Amino acid sequence: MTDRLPEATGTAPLLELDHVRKSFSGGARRRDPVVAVDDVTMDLPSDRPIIAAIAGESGSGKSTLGNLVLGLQSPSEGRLRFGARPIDELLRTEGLEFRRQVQAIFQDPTDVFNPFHRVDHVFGMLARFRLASSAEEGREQVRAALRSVGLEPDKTLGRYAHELSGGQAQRLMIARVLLLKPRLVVADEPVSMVDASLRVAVLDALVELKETLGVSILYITHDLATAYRVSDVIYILHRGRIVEHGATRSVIDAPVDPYTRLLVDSVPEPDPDVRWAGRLDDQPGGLAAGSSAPGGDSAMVR
Amino acid sequence: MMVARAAVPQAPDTVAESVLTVEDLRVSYASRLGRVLAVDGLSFHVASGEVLGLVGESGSGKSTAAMAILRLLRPPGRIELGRAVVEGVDLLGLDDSALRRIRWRKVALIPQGSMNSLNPVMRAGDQIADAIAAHEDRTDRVALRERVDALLDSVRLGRDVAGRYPHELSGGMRQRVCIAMATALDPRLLIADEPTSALDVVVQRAVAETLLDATHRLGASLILIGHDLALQAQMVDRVAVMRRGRLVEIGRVRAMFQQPVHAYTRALLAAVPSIRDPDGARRWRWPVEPGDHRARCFLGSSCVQDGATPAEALPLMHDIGEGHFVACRFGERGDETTLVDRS
Amino acid sequence: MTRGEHPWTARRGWGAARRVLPRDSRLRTGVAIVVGLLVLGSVGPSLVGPAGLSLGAAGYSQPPSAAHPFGTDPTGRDVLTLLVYGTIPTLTIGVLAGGIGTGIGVILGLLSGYVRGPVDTVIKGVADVAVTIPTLMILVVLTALVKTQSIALMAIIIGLLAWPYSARAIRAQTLTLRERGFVTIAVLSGRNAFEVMFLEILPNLLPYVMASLVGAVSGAIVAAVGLQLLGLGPITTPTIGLMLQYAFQYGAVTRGMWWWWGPPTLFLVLLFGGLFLISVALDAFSNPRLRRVEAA
Repeated sequence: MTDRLPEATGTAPLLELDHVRKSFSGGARRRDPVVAVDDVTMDLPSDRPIIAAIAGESGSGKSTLGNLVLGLQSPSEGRLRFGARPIDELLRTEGLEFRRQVQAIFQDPTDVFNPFHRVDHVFGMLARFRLASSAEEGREQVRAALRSVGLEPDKTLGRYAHELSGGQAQRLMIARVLLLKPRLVVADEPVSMVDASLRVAVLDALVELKETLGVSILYITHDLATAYRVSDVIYILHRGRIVEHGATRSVIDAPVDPYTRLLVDSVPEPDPDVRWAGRLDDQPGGLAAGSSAPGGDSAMVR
Repeated sequence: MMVARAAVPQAPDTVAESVLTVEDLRVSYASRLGRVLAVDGLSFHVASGEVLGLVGESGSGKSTAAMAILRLLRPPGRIELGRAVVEGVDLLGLDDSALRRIRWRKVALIPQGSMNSLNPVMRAGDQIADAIAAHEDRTDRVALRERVDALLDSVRLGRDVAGRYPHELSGGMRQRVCIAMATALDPRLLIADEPTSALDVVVQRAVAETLLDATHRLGASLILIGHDLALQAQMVDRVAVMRRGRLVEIGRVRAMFQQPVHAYTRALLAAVPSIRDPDGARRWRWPVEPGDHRARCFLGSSCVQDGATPAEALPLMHDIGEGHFVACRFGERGDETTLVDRS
Repeated sequence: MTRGEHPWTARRGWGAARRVLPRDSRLRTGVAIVVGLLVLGSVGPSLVGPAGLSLGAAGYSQPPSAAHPFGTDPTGRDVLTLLVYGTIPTLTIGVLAGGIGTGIGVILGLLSGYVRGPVDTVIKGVADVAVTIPTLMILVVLTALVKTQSIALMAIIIGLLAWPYSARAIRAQTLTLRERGFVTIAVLSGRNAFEVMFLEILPNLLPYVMASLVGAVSGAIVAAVGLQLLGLGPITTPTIGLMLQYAFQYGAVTRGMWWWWGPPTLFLVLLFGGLFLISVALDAFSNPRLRRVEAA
């Protein structure tokens, strides 16, 4: 079953996943192999920028999917292609160019900074991409990028990561991505560790990336509300499989799959007059959701 | 200007007695930058049988307040002022042995991250039994076993869970074990600090339901501490909003969500996305009329609650009616008279 | 809830190091002792003069006196002079061997922990086996075969056998650090494995490297003294160990010549004590559970 988007054109898709499967061996506890990603097929078009949400709970395999797209892990089965070329081949032959075109924003805004260095270090590392013709120009580019995400260069550069707030750190990472002008950004839970009041700024910066630079974003999240806000299409992931996908608004407003329906219904509404309808044990598969033994993507336990 | 402090913001219709009354709680930490106030001038009631939400962002002092009430603070934190009265007894003034008798039996805490703090080398059932035994001087293993089984039933966990180790349980199950532990001695008040923050949406709903079930079954009250306003809307009767250690607004949940007064509350609500109402069409509309003094309450350096030196003015809590109180430096006539001199 | 500090993952960071370490009295005392001994060894010879090194320079087996504060040995040499001239060579052995051992250990530990796979299996396997074999035994065999005549050679041999200890410690830390976000960002920025290991991970390992180095220096001096007591060390350069070798060989204990075996022993006690204090302070800093509560 191919889950191709309805308007896919003849040109090669930007990103293509073809029956991708990733399993991890049981490890020391001798459990059966854990299948994190199970027969996922999807693609992103290359003719226009798009924000595609990969939504699922922990253990759904969404972060593993992100790692596979970034080339940080290889699939057990199936292939991933970027612009019609297999990712593993791209990494071997044109690694630096691939790294330029596919970037990432991660969940923990302070973990992505090396505590030994000041935050400037993440920009310094970009020198090999030859984005500027002189050090002076490079510095100016960094400052401009910071300003465009709403940060003041003089208050941000020269600091250590722990001196910045989560929102500032995340926006700094977006500025870094801006400098590289990639074609695809994997954003793995970019706002879940950011204070609620700062989330909007970070999400807006992501949407800016798409609208001004034409960058497509793979937005990985467990939070349907933010997915609703920023994404155009959504893939609902459950235990490594895509159970439903489509235009975000229609999937969330009128979910078809029972798991999706359970997920959507369980999102709390910030309105005391709109409370959860019924009890969980009345829903199909309801209470089991809270009782399953741990499995799936062990890296996802939050 | 010296003005008498307003009465402690009280729940409406508190004919039912209050389970907990916190008065003027002040907690500070010693740091290398000097004394930092984590909580200042916090006062509120919790009525019998109600669910009170305590909301704030990181650094608001909500968790610190909970730990302080139960005297679980560690140095360099210390309680400088205040009372926390449970059934006529001030917890903050008790000696250790009296405190131990009240803690867990009258007031129980489910601390933040508790599901990750279970002893990894002890079975779940044994840990629950230990919690009971520690506070009740009970050693009858058979009776303990039955209590543990009953508790597991009450949180909708199978009895086999008693024999499992924490790593064999999912996050939601571990959290329900913690709920079982907290309810073991039938407390009158439960304090749950971010009980669902690391859990997925469906599991969160299951744990929330379990927590409310347990509270209602005991006829107890619950203080739900968190930063997720949507979750609060689903669970609580009243909401208290904290910012930088101070209480900013408190009131019934509907009033808070539909007619929030303080600018900070409004900002918090505006930042909560909704999938059912993405454009905020059903949200509160604050009718700002020209000359309405309350329109002057905006975030920014001109507001006294920002960065005021600790010993100085603490804004008074104004009674807006029906148990809705808001902290504001401006009085009824828009003049700046109602500051409490704390020096 | 942002960036919460779970006790197991609290990051100490370099800012904290610069603030906390200089105030640690254990570190200050340890450094003071070691530096003091270093000064003794570097300045001492010019103050004392080489006269006391010659055989028969003074009376034989004399107890301490005004002219000879630590007395003389059976060949008429001044013990104080021997001590002072022997300090630097002894410290050199320690630093050279400790440096070689730690250097090799850090490189192999990084490789093993970061690259994983067959490289890891081999290095880890060798290291795990090596630490179970008493090093002194191997050293005895090696030095008997090689007949070390210089302290440099002995130091090199000791150093080459010291790497497994630091390698295992560094490997363990590398395994943890490689999972951190900043390593992923470095990889995504096009850094190759060596750049990641030495520019991203190693700077964060410096406390552990220092602790390893201090331990290695201690261990090397112990090994060197041990070899010399067995008569397997070089005899051309004066060292503290050599003093002890002769002292025991010629029955200083039975003859009650406490001034001959006492000072070098005291020297070693001070040296090891100082190094120990330094390593305890570094360890306390690296291990969050041992650190005294630092106000938030």
